[in-house]
Amino acid sequence: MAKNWLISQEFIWRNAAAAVWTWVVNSSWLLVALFVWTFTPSNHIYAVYDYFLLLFSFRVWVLIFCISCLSSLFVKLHMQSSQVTFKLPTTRFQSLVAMFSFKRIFLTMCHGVLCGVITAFLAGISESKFSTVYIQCKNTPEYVCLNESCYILILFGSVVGAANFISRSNKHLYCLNFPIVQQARFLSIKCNFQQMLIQSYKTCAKFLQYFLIFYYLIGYLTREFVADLLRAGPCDGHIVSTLNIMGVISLAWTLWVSGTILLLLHNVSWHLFNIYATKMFPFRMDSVFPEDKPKILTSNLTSDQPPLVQHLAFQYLSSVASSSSIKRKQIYVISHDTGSANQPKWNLILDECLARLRKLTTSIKDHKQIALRMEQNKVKTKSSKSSSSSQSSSGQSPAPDSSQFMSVSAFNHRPKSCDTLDGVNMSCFDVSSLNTTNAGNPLNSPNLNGSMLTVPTPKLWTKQIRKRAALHSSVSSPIYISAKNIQSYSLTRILPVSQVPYKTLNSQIQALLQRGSAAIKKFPLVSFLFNEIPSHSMANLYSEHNIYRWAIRSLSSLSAYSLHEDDYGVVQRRLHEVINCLLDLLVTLDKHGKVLPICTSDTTNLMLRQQQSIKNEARSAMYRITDTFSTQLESIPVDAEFRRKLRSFVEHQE
Amino acid sequence: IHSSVLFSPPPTQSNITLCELNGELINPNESNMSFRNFDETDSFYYPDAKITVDSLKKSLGKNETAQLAFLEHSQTLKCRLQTAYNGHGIYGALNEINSSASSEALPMLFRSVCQNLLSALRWVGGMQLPMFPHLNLSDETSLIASISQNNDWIDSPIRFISWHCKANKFALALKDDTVKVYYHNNDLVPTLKHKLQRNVSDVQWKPFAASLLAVAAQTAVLIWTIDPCSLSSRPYSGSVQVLSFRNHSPVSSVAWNPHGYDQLFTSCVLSSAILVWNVGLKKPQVIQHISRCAGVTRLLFSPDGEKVLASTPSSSFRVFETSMWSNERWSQLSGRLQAACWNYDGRILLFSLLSDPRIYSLTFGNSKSSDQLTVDGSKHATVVIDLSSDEQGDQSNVIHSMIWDESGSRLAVMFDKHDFRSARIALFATSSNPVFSITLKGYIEGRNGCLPQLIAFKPNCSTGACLTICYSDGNITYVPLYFKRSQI
Repeated sequence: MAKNWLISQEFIWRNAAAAVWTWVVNSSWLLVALFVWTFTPSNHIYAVYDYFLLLFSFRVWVLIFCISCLSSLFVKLHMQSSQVTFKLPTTRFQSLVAMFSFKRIFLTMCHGVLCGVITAFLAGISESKFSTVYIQCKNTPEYVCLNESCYILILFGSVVGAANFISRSNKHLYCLNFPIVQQARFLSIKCNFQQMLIQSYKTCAKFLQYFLIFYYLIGYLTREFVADLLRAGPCDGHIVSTLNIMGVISLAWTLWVSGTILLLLHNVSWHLFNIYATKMFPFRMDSVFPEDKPKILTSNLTSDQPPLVQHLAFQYLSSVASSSSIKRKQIYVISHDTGSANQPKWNLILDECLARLRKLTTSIKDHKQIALRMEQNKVKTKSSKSSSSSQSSSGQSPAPDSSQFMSVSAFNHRPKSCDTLDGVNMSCFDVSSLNTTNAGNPLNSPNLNGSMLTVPTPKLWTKQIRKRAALHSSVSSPIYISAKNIQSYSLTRILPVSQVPYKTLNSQIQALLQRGSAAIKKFPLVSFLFNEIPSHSMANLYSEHNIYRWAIRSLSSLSAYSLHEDDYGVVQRRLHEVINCLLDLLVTLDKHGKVLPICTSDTTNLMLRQQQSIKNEARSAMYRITDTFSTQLESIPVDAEFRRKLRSFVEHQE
Repeated sequence: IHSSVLFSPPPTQSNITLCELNGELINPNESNMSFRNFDETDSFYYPDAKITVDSLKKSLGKNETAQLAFLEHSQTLKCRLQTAYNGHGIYGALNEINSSASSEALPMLFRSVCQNLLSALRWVGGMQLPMFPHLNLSDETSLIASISQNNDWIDSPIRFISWHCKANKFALALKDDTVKVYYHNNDLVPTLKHKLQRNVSDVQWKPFAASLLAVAAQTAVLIWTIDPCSLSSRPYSGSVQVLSFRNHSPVSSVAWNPHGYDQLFTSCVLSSAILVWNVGLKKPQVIQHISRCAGVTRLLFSPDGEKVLASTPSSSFRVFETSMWSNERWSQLSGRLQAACWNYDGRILLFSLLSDPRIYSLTFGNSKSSDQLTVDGSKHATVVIDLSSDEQGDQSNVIHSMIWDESGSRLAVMFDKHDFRSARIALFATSSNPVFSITLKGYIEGRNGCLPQLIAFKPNCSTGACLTICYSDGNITYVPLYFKRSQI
């Protein structure tokens, strides 16, 4: 990632600018927040006077300078913790691994320490009971004790820092938030400061209540530990006590203000970091110098670039496609560069955008198919269990019905050697598939999957069945094969006769391993940890929704503007591909984008919104094209289903 | 400067104007009997809509329950306050106290305190230094009425009309807080109703979409998805999406991105923030806080989508460019901006001010050829029309709203309900090529005893333009204007 030119050249400056602006903004509002920090109700008459007195103190200015500098360090932490898109862990085990990853623990500690240090500086701004670490012990004046007020303040600062990081990570709030519209930096801070302030004090209030409860219950343990560590005497009494309500209220107010300041420092730094990271970058459209090739827009759209670069490239493309006629003409024009074989930029952009959208369409379809199979498999397993129990009770061998025949996956993966058997009307048939007790789980018996069970059968019959099976399997096979199992399942299939001596051992070992893992997965705890969470895997399909939206917008805008601006007709040549792709996506989203009833969570809601966003964008894109070209689209080659859809767009009935 | 004094006076005898043909407004009389049935034949091409005042029954309030449908029920003030507080917090409770329904039951001093408290909260919420007079308005309905494009928003059966930009259909926001959609070729009238859909101030169809409708209600924005092929007249609850933002009510205006992107811009009359929503993601972004204005009354995009006018309750307004949202401000006006419209290429903005009979023009530079969008507006506004009259009082408002057709050839001006010309609509022929010119074509006469409340041009009219007029009795009439459209 660091090798990318944009990351190594542009983002260093962007992050530096974010750090500097964090310093500027935080030091500005800290001067105002100082008034709230030093305000005490008992001394309210002199509050303003005291505030101005503080402002004349050199020490205060130095401390504010230091706090602002420390808050700029948040930017460095954001660089480590930020993500461009988030992929949800698809199993609970992955969630656990992610939760206890070294990087996450390290960053949590860094946030905690940084916030603790900032709180210590805050405590030192004014002379109060919070400003010194040691105090003279009341009972034994010759010793120094740990100042519990100061300790609790710094501890709370650390807890807020760490808890805030964990909470935001869990809610994926460290994922870069691309703005709906670009706006100036100062304007953005001005518009969002109030919101950040409200969010900070609300979050802090939530942390505070838990902190006070925990400190009341187990706080003395940590306090004694720290006192020992600092070689100070034990504290006299307890601050957080039910007998000292007024003291607790006063303490809670101070903690709340300090926590709010900390969170606001953090939120401002994140906001500025986000602004700079997601700020549109003006990529070059073309260059005569070969060394500039990596900097050209079309080179940065490809999926081998870092995610942030891809996002910025698509963001810029969508902006250019909708608002700059000069840049659009550069896209439509046929290049004179011999290296690119006179390919217009449009073709490169189109290929890249279509690849993304087709990938999304395919993955939605695949996911839906897997989910359907999973559902059917569950039903199948239940029914096979009940049928086997009934068989055992009756003592009769079951007659395989046609549906069980259709479920035999061997038909789909028939070995080629079987077609070259001697007999004209003979073929081979996997007898293991007739074992109806194992129909739901073909991996259970390695022996049944062996080549010994491949017997010659009349070819005519097999062909017919194969046709039906192939037809059936293309729609939906009743057997659930998860994405992970597909490969391993194919390994345990019937092998060609010539390969049997060499691979039998391997396949048997693998089958044993498979059986072992399948047996382990039957344990409730293991299955709980390793079973896929359907809503998460579905939500991950849309993790790059910004890129999809920008790609759709760019394609449709470029297609629509081409009517008047494309002098060479490069867009017209491949317009049908755009329309087909968009219609395919829309139809797929309508058909397969529905959420399973088991998926009800925040993740599902987020996914539904992302899906809706893509759908809205695709629908508008289709209207943008159909409104521009209208009935001329009749001559475009599309499928019959898509043609009906296209006509409804032309008639504004969609 | 043209003065209406120079033009022919409005006709004294009231004849309904049928259309514009060969450059003249046609009124049926003895000499042109053949036009008598003109409106009947032509109305075939437009949706047939008539709202009867009796059919509109206003819902009772925020505290409406299913129980009310069966039993006569009068809620106590305490209940009403509790419901308002639960629904809308302290703002809701204070609004309820200041509403006319509660004013009788409470002591004068208490109401006065609550009124001042509400004003103070609005002032703090708006993050503005000056205290603007509209913050003192006790009721939010009167606040919406004061900024509405409707001549009589409170009593009019039709509160807003919005034509779809391509399809031949429109949406009507009615007094009973429902929104109805009328098609030209379909008798089915979908009725949109939601508990949050109250006091609708604006309705807008999304461009480049056939089914998305944004409704600006008192407390939120509702996004309705109305399937054009559906046979149901009551869309199910899943077809509405509610967008609400803290301290952003009552919503005064909604505007979709003219390029058809999934972006909805909203403004609030009590907040200086302009919001943009990613509708699919339900994600808001504050894009501007307009200082020194105390609220934004209307957002009006130029047809090319490069500029947006933000009018305010103060004597200033701003025009933003839409790439980085930089703006230019026009201030020191004689009153707040009352009506405004853009020409087709976004280079001319016509506007009028409250209590000012003149129409002003602002011209903007063409930034399409450059990479960076700029506002580039003229420093001073020019008076293009003066509609003052001897019969007009000094303080009364003259122009209530004005609209420009999408070809930039016709301008319709609706007079204020207090003006003596309130029963008529002035129609101007305009041209901006090679220089801007404006000529009065005449006055469009309405029905006897009815006042025009709302006007709108039907978009996508190939034969000229079609002016839609909503009257105070709930009738909607179409006035086709046949002319050769200038080349856009």
